[in-house]
Amino acid sequence: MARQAEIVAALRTIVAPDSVIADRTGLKVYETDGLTAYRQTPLAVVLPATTDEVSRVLAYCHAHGVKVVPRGGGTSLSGGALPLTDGIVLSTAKFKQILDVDLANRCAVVQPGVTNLAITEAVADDGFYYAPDPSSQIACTIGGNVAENAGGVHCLKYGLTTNNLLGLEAVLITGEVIRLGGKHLDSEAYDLLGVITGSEGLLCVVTEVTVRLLQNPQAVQAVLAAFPNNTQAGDCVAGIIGAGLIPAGMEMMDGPAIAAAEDFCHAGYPLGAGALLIIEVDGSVEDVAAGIARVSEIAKACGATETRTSRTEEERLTFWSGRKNAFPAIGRISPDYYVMDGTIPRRRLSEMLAHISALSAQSGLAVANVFHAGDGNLHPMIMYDSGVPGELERAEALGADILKACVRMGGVLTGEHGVGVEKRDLMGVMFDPVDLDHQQRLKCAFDADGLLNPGKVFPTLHRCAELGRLHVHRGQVPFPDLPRF
Amino acid sequence: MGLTFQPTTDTDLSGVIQDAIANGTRLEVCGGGTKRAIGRAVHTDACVTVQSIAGITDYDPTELVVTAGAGTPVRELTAAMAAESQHFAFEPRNLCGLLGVEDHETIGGLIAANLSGPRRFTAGGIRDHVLGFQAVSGRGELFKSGGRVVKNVTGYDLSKLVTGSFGTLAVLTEVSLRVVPRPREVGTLLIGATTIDDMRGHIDAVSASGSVTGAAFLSRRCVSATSDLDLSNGPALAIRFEGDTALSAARAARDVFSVETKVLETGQSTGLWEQIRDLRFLVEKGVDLWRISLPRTSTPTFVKNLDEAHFIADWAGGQIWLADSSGLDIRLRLKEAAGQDGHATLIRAKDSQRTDDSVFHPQSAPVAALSQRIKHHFDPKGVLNPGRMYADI
Repeated sequence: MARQAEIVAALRTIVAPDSVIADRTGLKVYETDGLTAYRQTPLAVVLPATTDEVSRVLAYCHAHGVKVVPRGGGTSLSGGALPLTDGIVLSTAKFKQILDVDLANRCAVVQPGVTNLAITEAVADDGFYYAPDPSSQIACTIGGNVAENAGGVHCLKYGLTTNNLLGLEAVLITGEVIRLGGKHLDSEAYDLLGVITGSEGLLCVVTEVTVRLLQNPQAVQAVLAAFPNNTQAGDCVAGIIGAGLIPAGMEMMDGPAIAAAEDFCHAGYPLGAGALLIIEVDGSVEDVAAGIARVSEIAKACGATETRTSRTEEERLTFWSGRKNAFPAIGRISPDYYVMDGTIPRRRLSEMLAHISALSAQSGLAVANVFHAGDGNLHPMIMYDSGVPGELERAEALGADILKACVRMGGVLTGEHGVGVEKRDLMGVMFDPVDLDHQQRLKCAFDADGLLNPGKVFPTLHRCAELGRLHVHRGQVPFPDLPRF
Repeated sequence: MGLTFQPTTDTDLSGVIQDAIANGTRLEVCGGGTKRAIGRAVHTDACVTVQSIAGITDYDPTELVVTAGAGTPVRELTAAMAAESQHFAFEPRNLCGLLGVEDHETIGGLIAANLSGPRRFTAGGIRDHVLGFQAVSGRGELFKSGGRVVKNVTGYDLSKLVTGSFGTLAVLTEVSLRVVPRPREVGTLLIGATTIDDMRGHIDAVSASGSVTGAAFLSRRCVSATSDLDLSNGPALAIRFEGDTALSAARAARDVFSVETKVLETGQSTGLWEQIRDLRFLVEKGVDLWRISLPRTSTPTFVKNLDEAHFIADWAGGQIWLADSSGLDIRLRLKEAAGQDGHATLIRAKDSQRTDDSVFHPQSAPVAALSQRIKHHFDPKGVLNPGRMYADI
């Protein structure tokens, strides 16, 4: 408590006194993020308003060994912004300005607390947009998107956050301010912009972001295709890619997800279908017409019982409404749900879905599936009731089993939600200790004392001094015939 | 430097590096050795090449991913993908002609140098297409990062770190890259009688179709150097359209301009863009060759009063390749044109110039210190390509 009082007093000399929250009610707001199963109350929350204030806050924390959890919109689905009881939360909520819209250079310079959607809204009238569009785009901030390397439904064609950034200003734990990139492409040397993106708040605090803007496509149309089962829908996905098409988005929903979404938004989804695909094509008017025709043909050849092509923008958005509201739709039919985020090679989609059904039957918890089929990114939604003793634990165990299966099938633990606290203990399934040591060496170069967002991403944190020791294994000489150095 | 180690497995490579650590010796890191002229000259005791850690290990066209040994020739990969009507979207720049070496370029070397071609400004660069890798770090340890799927945020994105690191952190042994379908049609609109000041406006006037994937400004001598381009009044702006209906898009775009224009069909277009990609127009133009990345609006100011025969402005104006032997202060010029933005790298230079710290663009003190710390953690004894990028890196 004494330490809390001391930290709060010090922070209040750096930022406006009311920008430090330390009362119980005020702190309650920050005790969790989008992964609500985990809660912890931080020592204090600080809301700096300028880069200089961030720099001084971090320099103070560095000097006094105070742990810092950076927080944007608090929408992380992996617990990336989960506070620490012995650390402070640094919120970017006051960094809300769009600093520069530079259409001639196809970019915008924004502060990290600007929401993802606000960037697109600022340039929409001029015919531009910012491509990554995570489902939480109304609420999630660009700073958080950088930390998590956020994706969305259009990644297949337009990439994740990392592929849509040009520059960053960030503050290191020492308080040093670095500027990387700008309005030009590529780094002059090591691609530090690239390694900071997706580093889950463990390397630095981002205070300014330069994003790439794209021109709105001339035309966008979507096809809704219903299939009797997952295998046929999976074949259709492979068929489209095999035909040389890269749709702007290619989403799949299974029977339970279709039923829940239709019940929630009345998007007109065919209720008897075993699987549904939404395939969106964008580009020039001619290319879209040609693409839509080819997609519809492939869908029919793969056994689609129904294909519908959007004739108006309103109809296209209706197709999407069910998919975009799949999470709340599940929330309506189940007291709680737990969203997973593994990625697998596309060719193993139907095999994986069958495996998920089997695991679901074993655990007695229902699972509905929505996923970014184009890039093999699954979002199984495990339905449970936290009021029933043991169900949360069963849901977590089922989730872990699904992710382990993803890795076994040649995939990865997380496609876009991040490791956070949620998948931290599964990192060893995908990486061996030497791999993880090399990851942590990057951390050591940025934050040797491990003060930024500790407890996230890595199951065990080694001390940097320990990691620095060289272990040379002599004796296994590869070229015995050659003279040694 | 005399010895060359050519390990055939990652375990052997690890042994070579561990041996170097133990003996306090330094290694030059090579793939096919085609880019030895790039960067600061390194002084090493031996060379290690990954040329024998080669071959495509996994390529399923419907996955849009290829995995190969780092020593795999780029040409082998290109041919395998072409057989499936696919390619790398980043259009690897092959500088062998420019640097006067035989084409033994490997995929590992390409990634280490991060030299992306004309499609960079729409499709991303090499950094955007490396999905995962295995490598032996300067600690002599084999490690992996990333994966073999296109969407992955598990752990730090070390693929970005090794891409463009010129072998100073780790020696790549296996890499996974993203692959995309080749466009069905490629059309090029050539706009004659143009100046660099018109470049941006001309591109923006035709980019709404979304199928523009290349835009380069070519000097009069570039234009006349190839028979494909028979415009009467160089210099010219070349704008490439790609897609299912790219030729009609390129033809329709002619209507926008009142000056002389010409449309090249798929075959001719492909040929022209290979020449632009590999900078064949600059082969004979002086010793010093600079690569400058800058905001496209700064380009006209940057090239003002320069002999247009000596540069190509690619990436819709965002990258300039400049052959200059007049001793211009390139960085001062860049600063005057673009302020704090942009960077300039000396790609080809006299050996005497390759020793100082100005080959790669100077960095701010905290960024330079951070880069040195990263180098130190991955290669604590400075075994791998020491000093290739900066004095300490």
